[in-house]
Amino acid sequence: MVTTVFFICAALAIAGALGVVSFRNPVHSALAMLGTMVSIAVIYLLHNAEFIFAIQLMIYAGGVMMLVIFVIFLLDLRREEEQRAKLKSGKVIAIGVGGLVFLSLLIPLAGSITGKTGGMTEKALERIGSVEYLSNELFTNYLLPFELASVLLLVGLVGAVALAKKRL
Amino acid sequence: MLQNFVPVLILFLFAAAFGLGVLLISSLLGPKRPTAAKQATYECGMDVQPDARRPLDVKYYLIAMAFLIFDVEVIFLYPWAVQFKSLGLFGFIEMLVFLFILLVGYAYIWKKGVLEWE
Amino acid sequence: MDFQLADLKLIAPHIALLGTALLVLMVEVFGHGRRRPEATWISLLGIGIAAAATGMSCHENRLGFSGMLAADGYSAFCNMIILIVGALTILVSSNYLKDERHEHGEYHALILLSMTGMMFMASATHLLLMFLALETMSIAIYALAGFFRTKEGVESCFKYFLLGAFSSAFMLYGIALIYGATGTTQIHGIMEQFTQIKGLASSPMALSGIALLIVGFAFKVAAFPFHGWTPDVYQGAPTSVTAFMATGVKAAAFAAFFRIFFVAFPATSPVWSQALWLLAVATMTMGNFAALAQRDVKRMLAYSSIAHAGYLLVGVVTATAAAGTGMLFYLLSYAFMNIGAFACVIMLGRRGADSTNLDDYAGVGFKYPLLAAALTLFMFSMAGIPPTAGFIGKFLIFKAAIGKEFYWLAVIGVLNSAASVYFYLRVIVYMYFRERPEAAPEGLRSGPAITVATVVAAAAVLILGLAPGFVVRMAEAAMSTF
Repeated sequence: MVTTVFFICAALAIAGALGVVSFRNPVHSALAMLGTMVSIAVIYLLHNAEFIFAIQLMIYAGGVMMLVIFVIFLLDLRREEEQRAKLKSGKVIAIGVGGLVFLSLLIPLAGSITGKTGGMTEKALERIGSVEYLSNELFTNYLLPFELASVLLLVGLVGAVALAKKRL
Repeated sequence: MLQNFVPVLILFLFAAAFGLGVLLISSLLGPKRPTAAKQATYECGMDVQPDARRPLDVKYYLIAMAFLIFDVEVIFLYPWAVQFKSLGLFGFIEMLVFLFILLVGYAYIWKKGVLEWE
Repeated sequence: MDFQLADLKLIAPHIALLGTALLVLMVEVFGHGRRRPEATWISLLGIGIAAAATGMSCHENRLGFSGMLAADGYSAFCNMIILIVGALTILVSSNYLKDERHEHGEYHALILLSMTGMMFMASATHLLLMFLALETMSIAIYALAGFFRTKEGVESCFKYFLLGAFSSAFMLYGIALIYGATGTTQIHGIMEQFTQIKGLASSPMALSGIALLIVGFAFKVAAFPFHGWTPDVYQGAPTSVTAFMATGVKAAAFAAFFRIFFVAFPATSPVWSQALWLLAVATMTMGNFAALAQRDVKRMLAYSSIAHAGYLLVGVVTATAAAGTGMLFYLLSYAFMNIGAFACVIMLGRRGADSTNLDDYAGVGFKYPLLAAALTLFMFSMAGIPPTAGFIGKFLIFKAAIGKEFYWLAVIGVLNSAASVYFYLRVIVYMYFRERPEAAPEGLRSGPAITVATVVAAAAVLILGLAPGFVVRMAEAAMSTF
């Protein structure tokens, strides 16, 4: 059952990703991207990562997609549909290099699984839910990275203002 | 484990069916008398940019950035809320520190006038 | 739960810096009046408090926050380097910002926040904390690079940001692979896994993880072949930010690089030390030879910074306590000589025109003898000519390399330093042996703060060169409590 769901979601995710780059209408591309993100969220769920599932929906499908669609609606789409992209030699090379990168990212995974796991094993998750487990870790052992994350967010905020505010 | 999410799936299917159904019904039943104003992306009078390959006004990115940062802040609140009781006072103080640092950022952008669409 | 209140003492310097940054931001928006020189004083005060806190915690030697970070002599020494870099940068910037009409508290806040990130990097013993700290540091610096919003500045900011995001992704994937292979991201835990699991040291997953970590660090320290961004970014950024980038980022990145590879991966050291050997040789050779061709002083200093990354990599390749001592000493002296040199560059520029071409330096020697003397000293130090700090730093690192029988590496390093003398001395030749053109602008962009910074840097370069014993002993003590 899990395997079936996985393959359906994986196929949907890939189809969506192809749709993003091949649709002529940017709104359709955005919707295809939404499909990919939701399918990936379900794949996270299949791996017992409820929290990542929720975040994927909240941040990507919710926040990021909203920003993307907002921008697209500010643009005149009819002109965009008339433009045609040609397949230039540069693109062919880029596709080749991209494929190579993809393969080289797969190589370390192939045949060298050591079987080591962190604390979040299936057994631990049966005892306590995934979000609860994560919460217990994040707010005790990972206290320092958690607080540093707020500093990182603050830096992003101040940096954006420093770069983009009209009058500082 | 996955059984817990069957209600979510059902809700999702209902939501999708409702959205698609409304679109379908309105395209079947609604009269079509298109005018230029009706065809505009925003029917509320906001003009679209003529060319998509032109840089968008930078103030949009500022708002977007602030929006995303506080959106990310929320995801930390979620696991904290789930375990609020067992984390106790310590977890509460921890979250206060986290929120304080971002609150300073919020006060900063507010006073800076970032939230105004100038 | 593993947390004690006593752990807070370990991050007292970091908290002091963060608090100061928040205060500066609040003063910036709630303070009154257009000109706000307070930011400088508040920042310096905060750095002073952080330095005092570092001094008080330098006898600690333990892990805190469930093994997240180490408070030991090594992190205390690195914290001191970073605090010195920050203080000098803020002193150097004070007049520069006013002259360029960019006197905003955000600048100081970003410097302080990125210093917080740097200090966490230097003391992190957990790959995740290290990564977050690295991002905190980097994002602040991306923004600082474009702070003046000139065409070159924005280009520099954007280039650095895009490539930096790439390198962060590589590093994160490396961390993920190491976690996949060992089941932990705590560096002592990783080391234990390597000793416990047979064959882990040769597993493709672990090795790829290490390789990707090297890519990430090599980008941050600007090592060949990940140095391509350096000249444009260093040239386009505001000069004070360039000084901060070249010294602060290098110090933090090398501190984390050395700690992680020294503690977590000794089992695989034959493999990665070969890769880093090649990287070190290529980096210093490429940096020096490209610097030979530069006529722009800022760009020349960018390539020189690549070459210095090469010398420092020799320390990581060697990976002994002696090499660590050399690296710490070198980072400290590099901070002084590089910020000093950039301070001189700032003083010779004018508003909106940095005038960093070599021709702008013609005849400076007799017009502004003190400034020229200081710049000469810094150039000597960068070239590694005794009796300056640069010489002692190189000496310590190459000695450590010879001690572990990396003879060729040391020989190539020494040959490289010899070649580098040419372009460092060329600046001096221009200053003393060329006529100053009639149309040359009058006056220096000087002020009390930048003068203090230059004098301190010059004095430190001389003292570290003439009587290095005290600091070398401190660095040795720092390495002994590693």
